[in-house]
Amino acid sequence: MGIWKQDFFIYLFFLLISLTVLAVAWQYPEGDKEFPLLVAGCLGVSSAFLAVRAFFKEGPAFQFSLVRYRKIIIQVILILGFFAALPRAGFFLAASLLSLLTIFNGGYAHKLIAVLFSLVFPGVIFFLFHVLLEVPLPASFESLGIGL
Amino acid sequence: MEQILAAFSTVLSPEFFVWLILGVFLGLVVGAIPGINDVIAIAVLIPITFNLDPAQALLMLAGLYTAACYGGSFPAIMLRIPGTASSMVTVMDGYPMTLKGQGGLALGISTISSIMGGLFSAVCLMFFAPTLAGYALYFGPAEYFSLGVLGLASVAGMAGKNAAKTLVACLLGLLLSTVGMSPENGFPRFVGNYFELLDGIPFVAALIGLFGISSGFQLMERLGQKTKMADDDDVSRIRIGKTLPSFSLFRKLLPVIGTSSLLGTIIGILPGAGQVMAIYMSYDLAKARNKDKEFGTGVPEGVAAPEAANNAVVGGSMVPLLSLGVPGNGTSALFLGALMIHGLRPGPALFADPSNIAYVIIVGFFLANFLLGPMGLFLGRMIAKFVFSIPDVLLGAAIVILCVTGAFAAGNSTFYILVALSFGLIGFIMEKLSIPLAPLILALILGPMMETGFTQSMTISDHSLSIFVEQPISLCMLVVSLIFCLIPVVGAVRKRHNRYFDMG
Repeated sequence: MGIWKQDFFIYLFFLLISLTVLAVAWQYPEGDKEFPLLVAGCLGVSSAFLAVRAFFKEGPAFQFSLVRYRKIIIQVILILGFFAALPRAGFFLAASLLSLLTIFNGGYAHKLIAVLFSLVFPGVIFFLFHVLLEVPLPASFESLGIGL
Repeated sequence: MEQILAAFSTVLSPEFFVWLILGVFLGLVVGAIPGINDVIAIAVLIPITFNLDPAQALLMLAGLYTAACYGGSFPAIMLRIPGTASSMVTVMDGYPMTLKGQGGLALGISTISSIMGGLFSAVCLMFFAPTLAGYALYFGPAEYFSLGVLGLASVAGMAGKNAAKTLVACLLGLLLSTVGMSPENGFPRFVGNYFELLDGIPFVAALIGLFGISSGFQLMERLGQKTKMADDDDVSRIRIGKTLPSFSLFRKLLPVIGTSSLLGTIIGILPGAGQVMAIYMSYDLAKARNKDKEFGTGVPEGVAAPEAANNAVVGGSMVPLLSLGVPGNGTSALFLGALMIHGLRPGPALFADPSNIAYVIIVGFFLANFLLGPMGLFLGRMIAKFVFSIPDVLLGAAIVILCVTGAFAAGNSTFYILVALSFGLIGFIMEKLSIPLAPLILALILGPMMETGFTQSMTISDHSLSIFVEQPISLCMLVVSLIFCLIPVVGAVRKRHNRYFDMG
């Protein structure tokens, strides 16, 4: 039972991180490696101690459900899609698509409102960032002579 | 005094004052929307402020920070839904007051208490921050390292039951701060093939991810499992009643407001203690001092105490930030990010800056509290009604769009979107596992200062750790750090001891 405890897994994960950092930082030159080694050492010792303590202590079991986190996984894929589309399609198109698909991912039933929101909100953001505050964003219709 | 007066005339000039008003307005809106808070809003706004004058940008952020924790009280009082974590306790007596038909009075008490708490801490900020910054002139590398240790130790000490997870979050933050070129020789560490990481993890993008994108994920998760929190979700049907308290009630509330303001300011100064601790402590204190009243049934003191305390934390948290560069909580950590992107460095240099920017920020915090009154009372109910008519899913989409845009704008590169997404996932997982985010951020900020202090101290002392205890200021800070670290240990020992004797 002990091995499936959530806290045990957390500290085991931190222990692995610290061991990885120790292994990598060890090869760095003198003066550049001391601080990462010090911090990774502290993290390693404390997470090893806490993992042992969590193993013997009562606590919630580790749980993961793909179904429960389905919407979040889809959302991550949508943001990755935005990342890929932004340089090619420009901000307005990429953001409108991201907005529309995010709303559908959230299970919103009113399609017309979803479409209107996905057109208006990214447009307002583009205007605010790009036009008013002069923060450069890739334009979608530059070749058509439209500043959006 | 001259600098303060000059700052007043700067802030009150229309081209600056309008940004303060805008910040307060945004803060009221953000505070009233459950799921969005001042941290997310500031994280998203930082990239927007790139092209603004530093004073205008920082005034807007000061207004937002001040107004957001007050704005959280509207839905807390009217709908039993805290808009921000800092208004969790306001619900306990605020909503029962609304049910009694005294919602307007609760809003009025909340407004007056917030203004007074905020003004008290702003005055403390005005006088303590420059003095403390003067002491920073005596700080050498060992002191800066110990200051970082103190900041992190106080976070761990205040964590209560969560001390172990807070400790690992601090250490993880410190490890993340070592990504990029080393301060000693400029050697690239943990960057792989990503040259974008040479300057370290992009701070603003990481914050947008940790607070903004992760809250978008949380909102997504909540959709479909929504529970009806308020007995009556329709704000328009709630009877508000009169708004301003009578003079006799105000006089009765004054001691509660005064002690809560003092408590909030002190807690705000301590890194890691934060608003939640301040509101609970002030509420408990008010309860202890008013034993004849039944708190939780709509007692005005139950609204005044947390509201004065949470706004007092705002000014308090800026004291160590402006004077020493050590943020008091997550929001002030973002403020540090905003200062840095405008090329400003907290500490004595900030107070000596010819632009008088330090005093402009302080006066901004001071005046933002005055704006809370008229703007809060006139716009508060309207804003609350409007934001509660927006469906959660549209709010989630808006958060995601704002975050990815803000992340891109932070570095004008799509790589920053990936950084924000990665930190969004980290933040979401950390929240799920009850690992606090604020210590990670604090460590990420303090890490470079600590590493530089540590490396330089080692060079000066010929690699002897005794340098940290030979310097009196450094020694004092390490002793206080040790005390902070012992707080959870002593608490656990005492609890075990009590349990043992109870069983006996």
